[in-house]
Amino acid sequence: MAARRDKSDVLHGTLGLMVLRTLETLGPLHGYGIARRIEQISEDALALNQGTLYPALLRLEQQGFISSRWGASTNNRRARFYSITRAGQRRIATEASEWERAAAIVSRFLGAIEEGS
Amino acid sequence: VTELRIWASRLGALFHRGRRERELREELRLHLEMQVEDNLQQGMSPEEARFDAMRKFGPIEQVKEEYRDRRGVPVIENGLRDLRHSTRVLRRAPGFTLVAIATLAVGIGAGTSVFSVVNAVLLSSLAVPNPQDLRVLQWTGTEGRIPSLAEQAVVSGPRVSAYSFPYPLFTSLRDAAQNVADVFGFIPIDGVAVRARGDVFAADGVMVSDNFFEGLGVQPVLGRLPAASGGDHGATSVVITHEWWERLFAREPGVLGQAIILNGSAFEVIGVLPSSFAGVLPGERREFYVSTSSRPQFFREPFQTFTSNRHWWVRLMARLRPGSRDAALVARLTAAFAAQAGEFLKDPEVLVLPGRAGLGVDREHYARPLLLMLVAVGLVMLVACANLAGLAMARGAARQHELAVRVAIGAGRWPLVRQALVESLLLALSGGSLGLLLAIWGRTAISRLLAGSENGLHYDLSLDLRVLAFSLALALVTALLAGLLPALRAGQLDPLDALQSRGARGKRQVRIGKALIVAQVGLSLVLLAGAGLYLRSLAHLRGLDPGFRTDDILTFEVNPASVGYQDAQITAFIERLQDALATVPGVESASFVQYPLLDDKRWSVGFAVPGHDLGPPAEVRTHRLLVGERFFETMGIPLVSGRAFRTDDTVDSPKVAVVNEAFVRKYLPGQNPLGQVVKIFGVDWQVVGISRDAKYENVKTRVPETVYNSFRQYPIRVRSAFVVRTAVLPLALSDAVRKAVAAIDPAIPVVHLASQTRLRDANISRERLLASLCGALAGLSWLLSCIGVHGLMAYQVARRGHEIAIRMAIGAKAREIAGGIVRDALLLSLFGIGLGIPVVLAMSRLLESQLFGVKPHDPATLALAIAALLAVALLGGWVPARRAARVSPLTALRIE
Repeated sequence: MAARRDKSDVLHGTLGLMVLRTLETLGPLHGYGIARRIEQISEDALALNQGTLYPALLRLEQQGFISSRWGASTNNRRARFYSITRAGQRRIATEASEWERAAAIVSRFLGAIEEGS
Repeated sequence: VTELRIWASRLGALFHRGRRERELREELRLHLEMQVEDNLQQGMSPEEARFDAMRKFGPIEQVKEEYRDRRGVPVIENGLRDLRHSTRVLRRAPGFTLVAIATLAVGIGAGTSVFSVVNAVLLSSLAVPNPQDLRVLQWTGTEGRIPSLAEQAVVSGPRVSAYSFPYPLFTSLRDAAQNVADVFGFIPIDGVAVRARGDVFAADGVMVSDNFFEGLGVQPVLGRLPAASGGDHGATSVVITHEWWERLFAREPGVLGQAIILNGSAFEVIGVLPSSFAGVLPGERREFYVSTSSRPQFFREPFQTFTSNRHWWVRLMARLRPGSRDAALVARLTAAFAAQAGEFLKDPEVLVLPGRAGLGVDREHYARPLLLMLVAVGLVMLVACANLAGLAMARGAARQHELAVRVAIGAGRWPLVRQALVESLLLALSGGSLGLLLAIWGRTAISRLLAGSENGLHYDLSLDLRVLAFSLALALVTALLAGLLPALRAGQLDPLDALQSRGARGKRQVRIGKALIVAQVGLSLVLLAGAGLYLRSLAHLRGLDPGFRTDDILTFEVNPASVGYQDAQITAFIERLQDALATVPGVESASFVQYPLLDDKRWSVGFAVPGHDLGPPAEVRTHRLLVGERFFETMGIPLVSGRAFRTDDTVDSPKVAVVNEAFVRKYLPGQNPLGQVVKIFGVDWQVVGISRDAKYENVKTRVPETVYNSFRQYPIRVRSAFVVRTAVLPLALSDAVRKAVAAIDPAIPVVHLASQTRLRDANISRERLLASLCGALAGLSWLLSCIGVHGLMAYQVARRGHEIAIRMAIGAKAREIAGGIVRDALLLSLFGIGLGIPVVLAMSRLLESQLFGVKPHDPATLALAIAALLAVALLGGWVPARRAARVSPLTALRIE
C-alpha cells in the first residue's frame, strides 16, 4: 500500500501542475475534458490511467487550488466543472519556476557529464 | 496551513457521505460515457468503444478506493462502513447471529460472574490508604501446647501455626515493633445480644485495640473513632458500620450519642464507619466495634483472658512504617515472642504475611474452587471460539463467491480481513454486553452457592472497573480468536480458484472446519469428564449417611450467658426451654445440644481410661458433646446398649457418659464398655450407654470417637443450641420457637435458626457449586459441539450436493449416503476424544483433593463423557445426513 501512495505522490506533482495549467488556459472543464487535454498536449506519451486524475483533482481542491461546481455539459448532461482559483494561479507561477530551475540544474548536469566523457 | 485546510476538508467529508459517494459515481460514469461517445465517433464498434474506455480509465474500484482514502478520514470511515456492512451481513443471517451472540453472552456472562467473585474474594484490597503496607502476623513453632486457642491451628509436619496471640503478648509485640510498625489487634466476638430501637437480635462484632483504626487508617463518616491517643475512649462506646447506620438508624446524623444495648449493657454510638470499609475479616459480617477496654461487658466470668498468656485469641495486624523492612519487623517480633511463648511452643517464630486484604481464611478456602471455575470458563470460551470460528468459516465459504468477486474487481485484501474481524468484534461486543447483564444475576447466584445460604458471601461483588476490563478483554480475545481464522482465509482468497468450478471450492475450509470440530470435541471431553467427576462426587456426598435424621429437624442457638446468666441459671434456662419447646404444637421432641451437628464445630479433648494403656497421651483424644436427655431420641441415634441421660443425672449425682461405637472400637475393643470410667480433665465419667455411630462436625469427615455428657453435669458458659424434631416443615416453627424463647426471657435473641438439612447441605456447598457450575459449563460446551458438528456437516452436505446427486443418480442408496455423513461426524468426534483423553487423565489429578468417593480416573465417568460426545456426532450428523438422503438427484443437478 505504501508503494501505491508514493507513486501517486510523485504523479501528483506533475499531474497537478498539468491540471492547473489546463484549467488556466481553457477555463472551467469537467474531468473528461481535462483528461483529453492532457493526452493531447502530451501526445499520448504519458501512459496515464485516466482514473488517477480524480484523486488528484480532489487533492487540488482540498488544497484550495481549484474549485468545482455542478453544471450542464455540452450535450446537456449534469457534469462537475473544475475551475482554477487565485491560489491555483499563484501555485502555477511558483511551480513553473521551480520546474524550470530543476530542469536547468538537470540539463546542466547532463551537459557536464557529456563534457566530461 | 495547507495541511490544516486538507484536514478540515477531510473531516467535513465525513458528513453527507452518501451524497459525495453518489457524486463520485456519477462523475466517473459520465467520464466513461463521454469517452465511449468519442470512441464511437472515431468509428469504433460499440463493444470496442466500451472496452477502450475501460482500459484507458484503469481499475475503477481502485480509483474509487484511493479517492475515498483521500476524501475523508479512512480509519473512521472504514470503521463505520465495516460496522454497517457487518450489521447488515449479520442481520441477513439471523440464525447464525443469534447462536453466536447467545453463545458469547453465556460464555462471557459465566466468565464475568466467576471473575467478579474472584475479584472480590481473591484480588481486592481493604478500602484503606496504602493497603500494601499492611501485614498479618502469624506465629509458628513446634510441639505446641496451647491451652486455649480461638481457632483451628494449621499443622504441617511438626510445625503448628495460627493467627491468635494471647493479649499480654500482643502488648509486648506492639511495644517491640515500635518505630518499625504499628501492631494492632482485634478479637472477633460472636453472637452478641443486641437491643437497638426496640429490636432484639444477635450480631457479631469485633473488639479492637485502641490503635486499631489508626493503624488501618480508617476515617469515620460520622463522629469519631477510638484512638490510642484519645485518652478516655470509653469502655462503653461503640462504633457501628455504615450498614447498621442505614438499617437501624435510617442514616440519621442524630445516631451519635444514642444507646445500643450489647449483652445487656448500654453502649453509646460515637462513630459511623464508611460504607467502603467492610472490616478486616473479609467475608464476615461484623456490625460493631468496641474497645478492648469494654471487656467486662462481654466477659463476665473471671476468665483471665487479658492478663494471662494461656488464652490465645487476639488476631494481630501491623502497618509497616514508611521505609521499614519486613525483615526488621520479623526480627523484633520473634525476639519478643520467643521471650514469652517458650512455655507453650518450641522454636517460636512470628511470620509477617501480606495484609492488603485483611485476615481472610476464605481466601485459602475458596482460591482453588474459584480458580478451577475460571479454568472451566476458559475452556468453554475456547469451545465457543472454535465453534464461532467454524460457523464463520462455513458461512465464509458460502460467501466466498461474493468475496471473490470483490477481490476480482480490485477490492484490497486488507478490507476483507478487516471486515471479517469487525464482524466478529461486533458479535463479541453484543454478546459481551448481554453477558454483563447475565453476570449481574450470575455473581449473586455464585456467591449464594459458595456461601451455601441465601445471603451469599459478605463481599462487595459490584462490577468494578477491573471486572469490566476483564469482560471487555474476554470479548476482545474471543473476537480475535474466533475472527482470526476466517479473516486470514478471506485475506488469502484466490479469486480465480474461488470462482472456478464449485466442486473444488472450500476444500480448505472443510479441513480447517474439521480441525475446529476436533478441538471442540476434545475440550468438551475435558469439561464433561471434570463435571462428571464432580457430579459423581456430589452424588456420593449426598448419599452419605450422617447416622441421624436430618429431615424434620430444626436447630437454633441461644446464648443466655450473653445477658448475664451464670452456671445454675443457664442450666435452669435450658431445662425450661426444653420443656417449653416440647409443648409447642408440631414439635415431636426437643433437646439441648452444645451446638448443632454438621456445623463445622467440634470439641476435642484428651482423656484416659484408668487401668488401660491406650497409647501415647497426646494421641488419646476423643470428640465430646454436651447434650440433653432427649438428644438421642430427637436425632434418631439409637442406643446399642445401656441407657441415655436422665433428668436425675445432675451436678450432685455420679457423672455419667454415653460413648459411640467408634469410641469402643478404637479404645475398648472386645470389652464391655458399660461401667468403665473415662477420665477427662481429672473428672471421672462412668460409661452408662453406647450409641450408634453418628457424624459430628461435618458429613464429609469420618465418624469420630465421641463421648456424650449431659449438660446438667457440666457448667455451660458458651452458647447453647437446641434440636427440635417437628411434625411439620421445620422452618414453619421458627416463630413458635422465637415465642417460646421470648416467653422465658425476651432479652435473649434466637440465632442461626436453620433446618438440619440446610446445615447438611452447607457441608457440601462448595462441592455442589463446583458440580453445578461445571455441569452447566460442560452442558453448554456439549451443546456448542452439537451446533458445531451440525454446522460443518450441513455445510459439507450443501457443498457436496452435486456429488451426492450424481451418486444417487447412479444408484447409491439414501441410507449409504446418510451413513457416510454420520460416519464422518463420528470419526471427527473419535479423533477429538482421542486427543482429549490424555488431557482428562492429566487434569483429573488436579481435582483429586476435591473428590469424595470417586477416583480421579473413574472409568465410568470417562465412559459416560465419551458416550455423550459420540451422541454429539450422531445428533449433529443426523439432521444433515437425512437432508442428504432426501436429495433428489434431479433437483440437485438442475440447480447446478
